[in-house]
Amino acid sequence: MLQILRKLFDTSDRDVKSIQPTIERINSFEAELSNLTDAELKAKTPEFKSRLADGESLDSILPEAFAVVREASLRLLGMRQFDVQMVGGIVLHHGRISEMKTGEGKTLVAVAPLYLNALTGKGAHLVTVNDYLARRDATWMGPIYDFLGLTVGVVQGQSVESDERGGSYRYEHGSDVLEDPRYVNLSPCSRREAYLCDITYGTNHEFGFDYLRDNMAFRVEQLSMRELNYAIVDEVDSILIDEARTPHIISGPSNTDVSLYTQIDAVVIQLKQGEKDDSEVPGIHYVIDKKNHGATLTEEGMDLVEQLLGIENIAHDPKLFHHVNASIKAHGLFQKDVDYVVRAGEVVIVDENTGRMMFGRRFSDGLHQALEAKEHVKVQPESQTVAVITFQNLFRMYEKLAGMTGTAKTEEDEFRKIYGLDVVSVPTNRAMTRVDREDAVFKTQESKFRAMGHEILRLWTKQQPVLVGTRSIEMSEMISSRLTSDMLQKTLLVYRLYELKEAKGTDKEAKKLIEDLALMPFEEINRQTLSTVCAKAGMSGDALNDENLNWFLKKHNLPEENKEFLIEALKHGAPHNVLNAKFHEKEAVIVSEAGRKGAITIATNMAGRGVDILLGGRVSDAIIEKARETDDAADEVSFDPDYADTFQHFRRGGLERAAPPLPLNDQERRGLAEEVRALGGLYILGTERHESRRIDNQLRGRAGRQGDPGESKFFVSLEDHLWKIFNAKLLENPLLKSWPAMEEINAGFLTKAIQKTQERIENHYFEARKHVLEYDDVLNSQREHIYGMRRDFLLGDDAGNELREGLKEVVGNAVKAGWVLEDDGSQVYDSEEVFERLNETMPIVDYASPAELEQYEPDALQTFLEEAALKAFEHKRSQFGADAETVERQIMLQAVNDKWMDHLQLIEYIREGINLRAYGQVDPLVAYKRETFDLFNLTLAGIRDQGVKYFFRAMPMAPDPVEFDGFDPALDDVLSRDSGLVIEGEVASREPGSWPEEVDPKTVGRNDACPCGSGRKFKQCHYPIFRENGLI
Amino acid sequence: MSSVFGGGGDMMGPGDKGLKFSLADTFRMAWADPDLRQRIIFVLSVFAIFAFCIHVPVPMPGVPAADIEEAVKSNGFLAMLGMMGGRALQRVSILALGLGPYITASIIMQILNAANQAWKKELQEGGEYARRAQGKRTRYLTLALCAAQGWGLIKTLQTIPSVNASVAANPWMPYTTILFWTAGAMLMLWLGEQLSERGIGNGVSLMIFAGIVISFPATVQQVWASIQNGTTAWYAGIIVVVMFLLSTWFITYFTIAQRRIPVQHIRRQFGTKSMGGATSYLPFSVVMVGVIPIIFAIALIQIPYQFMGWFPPGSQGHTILQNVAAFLNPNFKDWRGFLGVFVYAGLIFFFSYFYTAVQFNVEDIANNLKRAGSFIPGIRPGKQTKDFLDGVISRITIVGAFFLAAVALSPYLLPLFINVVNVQLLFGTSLLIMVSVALETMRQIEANILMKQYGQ
Repeated sequence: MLQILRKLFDTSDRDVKSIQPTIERINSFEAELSNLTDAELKAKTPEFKSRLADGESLDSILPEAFAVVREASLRLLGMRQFDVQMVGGIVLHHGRISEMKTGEGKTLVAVAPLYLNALTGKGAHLVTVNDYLARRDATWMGPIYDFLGLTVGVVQGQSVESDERGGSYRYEHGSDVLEDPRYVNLSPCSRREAYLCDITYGTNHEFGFDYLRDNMAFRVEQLSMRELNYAIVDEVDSILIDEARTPHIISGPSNTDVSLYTQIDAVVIQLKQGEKDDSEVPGIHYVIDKKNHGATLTEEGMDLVEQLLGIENIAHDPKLFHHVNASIKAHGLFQKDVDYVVRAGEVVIVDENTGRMMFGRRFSDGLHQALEAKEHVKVQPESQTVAVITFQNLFRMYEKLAGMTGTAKTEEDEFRKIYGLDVVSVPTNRAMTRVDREDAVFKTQESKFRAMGHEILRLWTKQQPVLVGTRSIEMSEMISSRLTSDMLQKTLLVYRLYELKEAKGTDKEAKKLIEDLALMPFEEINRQTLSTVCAKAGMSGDALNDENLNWFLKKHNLPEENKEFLIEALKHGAPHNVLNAKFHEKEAVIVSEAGRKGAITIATNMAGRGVDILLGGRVSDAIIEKARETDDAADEVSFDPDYADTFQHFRRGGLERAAPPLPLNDQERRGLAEEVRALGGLYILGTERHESRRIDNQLRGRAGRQGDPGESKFFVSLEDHLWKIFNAKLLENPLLKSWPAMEEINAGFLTKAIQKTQERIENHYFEARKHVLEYDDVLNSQREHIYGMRRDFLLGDDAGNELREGLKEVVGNAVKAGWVLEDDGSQVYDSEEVFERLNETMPIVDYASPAELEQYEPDALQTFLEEAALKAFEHKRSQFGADAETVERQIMLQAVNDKWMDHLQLIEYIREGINLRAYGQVDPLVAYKRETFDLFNLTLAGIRDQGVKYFFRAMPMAPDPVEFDGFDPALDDVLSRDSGLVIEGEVASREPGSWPEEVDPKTVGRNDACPCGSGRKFKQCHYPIFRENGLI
Repeated sequence: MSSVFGGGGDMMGPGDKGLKFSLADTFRMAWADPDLRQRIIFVLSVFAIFAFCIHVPVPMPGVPAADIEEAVKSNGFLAMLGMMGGRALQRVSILALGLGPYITASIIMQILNAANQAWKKELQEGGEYARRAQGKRTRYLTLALCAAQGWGLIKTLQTIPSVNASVAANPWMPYTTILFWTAGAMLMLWLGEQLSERGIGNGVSLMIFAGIVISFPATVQQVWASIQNGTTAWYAGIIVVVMFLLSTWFITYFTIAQRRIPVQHIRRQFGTKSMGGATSYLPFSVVMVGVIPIIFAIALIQIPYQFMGWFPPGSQGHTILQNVAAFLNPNFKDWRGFLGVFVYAGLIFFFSYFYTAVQFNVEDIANNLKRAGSFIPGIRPGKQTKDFLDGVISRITIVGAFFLAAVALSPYLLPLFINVVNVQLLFGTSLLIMVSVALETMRQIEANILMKQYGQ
């Protein structure tokens, strides 16, 4: 019933139909355009621009512009966009999400709307999931834009994890600056230049970080982004939904005292650790809970800690308590070389999923510091948030937002509610013929793995390519381990035995033994037992025996000639690739081979996104041509180590290595593709259901592109991780309990239960996202205000006014502070107090004496002091001469930065405890809104206050501040982009001294005072000198 | 209205439960914002629908409305029901049952949830999905209760001769009546939910609020009329008004009052900077569980009345129940009723403690704190915290219970001094409910306004 209603309200078809007339118009231009020369075609762009300037709307130019793009892509890339691709493009231009199945050529679809919207001159962004794709798409489509006279830029991330180079580039046809075939036609440029291009390709991370960094800049030249005009988000469901749960943070070091950690560590070492239920056991001081990743002190433990630290009550000292907790966590939950490693005097986190070291990442909440203390390396200060934004709010800032993906319809509600984007399902160019099979449900994980091994064996024998999609690296490895020769043989035998069990003629005893076998985990089944049981059952214990082989072939209706494959697999294991999303580009190469006949590819979800899997195998391109040339000198591939490295991923049975097949040219591929089609196309094997059906569909969508045949099937077990968390009751069902282990379960209610559980999970995550967003929205209004204010200052607004306002406030506060309470409780006005107060901030002593102050009544005092303060202000201003305005501006910017940072920290603290308000029958969100409002007003006042303080302490510096040297990779260094002014503490500024011999420049921190004694920071004093000389 | 039992020097202030802006300012700002304006208008429209529906009568052939009005006036139990439902009972409208069944069902579900471990766990971990399932169960229970309470009501009404005759003449009438009443109750529920979604604040509370407020004019009129015709002295009117205002102030004062227990978070290192305002705290209201204890006490007291209807008048069962009822019903004029006062107060105390223990399981709170990495400064997480909280809650509950008892008994006190009939509405429980709902709604409006304030 619900389905009928849904269909009724689904406007997709109607939308598509209403776009048809526009498509006809586009097509009508085709003939005319194909007759134009290249130069004439290029001239179209200026023509469009002038028409726009004359007042025509984008929508009216659309048909012709799209036709032009089509013609250009035909001439340059040899690809004429299909009608459905044009439909997709129009949907994108309208600012909606176009749902286009995999293989429809989404990259090309985006070109037309980007072109059209960039004509306005305001710029257009294309957001994608990783750096590799950003670069690939830009270089791929670059020629079209270039031909049509638009500039293209690419912004890349700096993470050490990717093997991309990072940085920013613009497209320059024919350039080969880096001599890297991946970077052909891209020449490096500054980030600002990349954004000044008409069209910019980048990842969501980069756009987010650049936005935040722009809002910490001190000079207009440091700003990189332009206004946020139009963005197309590729894989929009992944970026706006899956990745939208955590906010984007830039953090910097805070000024906390870290010496305590070492002391605490000495204490914690003496404590005894226990397991979760040991809290009452005497002698145990703290217990760890691995499941919830927590560690807590026991009563005894707290006593001991108090004793060792020499304090009375640990609960009275939150700081100590905090440190102790972090320390016991560090000792109890984190193991060296498993969760972290120590490299070069630093503690480096090891990613649990990929096993790689994450340089530059630090644990929060004091944990990293505790680990550093534990390992006796230098404890570095805690980091604190400097800027934060969520993706939801970032993308909402664009004037127009659009997205494309293969799977969006199911999440349409969320898109609409949060982003105002509705979804249009664009029909495929050719009808989809993929067969989605019913899930195969098993009782235990073990039986599921057996079934999967069996299935893969069958597919290998059939030589149908299979792509196994998993959720984790662990799972990938487990499946890979099932493909050894040993395992495959066992699989074959066990299955045959099981079939015999059902048959009539078998021995009763044998049947019982087979039952047992069915329940035993594979590792425990050894050859002996197997042979005995086989003998009893009347079949050969040797998998390679012809009888067994024939049985297998017959069971699966496979022809005789495939027997050789079967034998090969049973003898040597099945050859397969395992991908873990560590290296996007290398894996893209491998994934594109997944359609080759007989290929077995095991990949996690993240691996190889955006890659088209062509049946038959990967088609040649520039890289491959070069690789072919140096085919014999394979070890000499100096220019392209990627290709050689693909060897590493190719395994046979998990251990050996074998050479992957060489790529083909187009002719060869088509031939092979036909063969694969005859076999049924690409087979997608899902190892478990994911958190949402959308992700399941993403996996399925990899097969069956462009009308190709394909199959998909999910294997589910009741012991899967997901059910354990969300629906533990599933296994309790008596019907399921009694089900024989190895058989597939076919129960109607089960599919329903699984579906319902998935819905619950989807809901759960939706709630989490909504929750994050509700709270971030509050912060967002504040952020907009502050960043707006900041931008005004940056772009030239008079900061002096703000400072003067601040002055008045400071005076006002000081005057109020003059009311003091005498011992007898009466209130008396003490102008000394006022004087001292004021003197802390500004040299009021030059303009008024305490005696003078006495003369005034409190009310009149305010006016008097304001005048005096203003005089002081003007005087100070004159000291700066012509630079006065710049100084004011820099000071206000610094004040905004500092106060906003504090504000964020306080907000985090409030957020932490706000849920407790529910005990007072108040909605936590409501309470949060109220408190942050108060806090925000305080912050605004604080900014002015701080500005005034800085102003009176600032001293003009003799030499110029160091020039900003472009993009700085280390995010930690963000705070170093400060104003270049010295904020006076007690040390006066002096000339650079001589460098002390014994100090090693590499050990000096950039923000530390320079050891030469000049009083300036190292990075402004001797650091640039060393850098130039190459010493650092 | 600062918090009376503030926990520390830096935690005074109106805090969560009080209001920031003045009433006039709030309305002005709310009206200025188009979104809020729409919401307020929606709320008012729903109230209008509700007022209209009260006048839709259930067909009871042969029964003049006046009879029922008479009966309601004399029967205490019916009077209370009528009052809460906006005089729907007097009009024998479809909304006669009102939200009573739903409220009872919610309370029962809440108790069951707290008691049943499996359900509690599911609610904690299931999130939205579990809440919705819970909502469904509550609704089914409501339906069941509609039937049960409707039956009881019909039986009570049958003590009225004309009603009895009507039933005799039309045997299926009780069933259709119950059907109408159930429909009416569910209608109110639906209206409440619409209010929650497209209006402001908690819809069901607003409906209850509406029900009470709608009876206002009639009550005022009654008092006025009785002054006019001399049954009541003229100064009684002024006393009533003064008492009303005093009660409102008193009730508001106590409703906002909170004991705040400061909380530190282990994970975040703090304490180096002052916050100039609220820190993290655990708020315990003085009135922790609202009017629930009073409702329970009333329910218990009314049991004899409920069952009295099952027995024909004059029978032994009827008389016994009548006697019991007299003991239970607080009435200062009658010696048995005097005892009833103590019984009433005692019940309120008992239910205060009981329900507080159900709602605020100290062990759970202590565990949640521990898990979230928070602790009360000076007190160790774990057992110490549990004991401490236990002590705090016990002490607060005493105060809260006293307050509730005072509020609940005030309507009975007043008739001692002045001869005014049927002003329970203006005091006691209904006033308490009105104040809570009003505060809550204003808070919501305020919060929405705040969000738009950042532009300045």
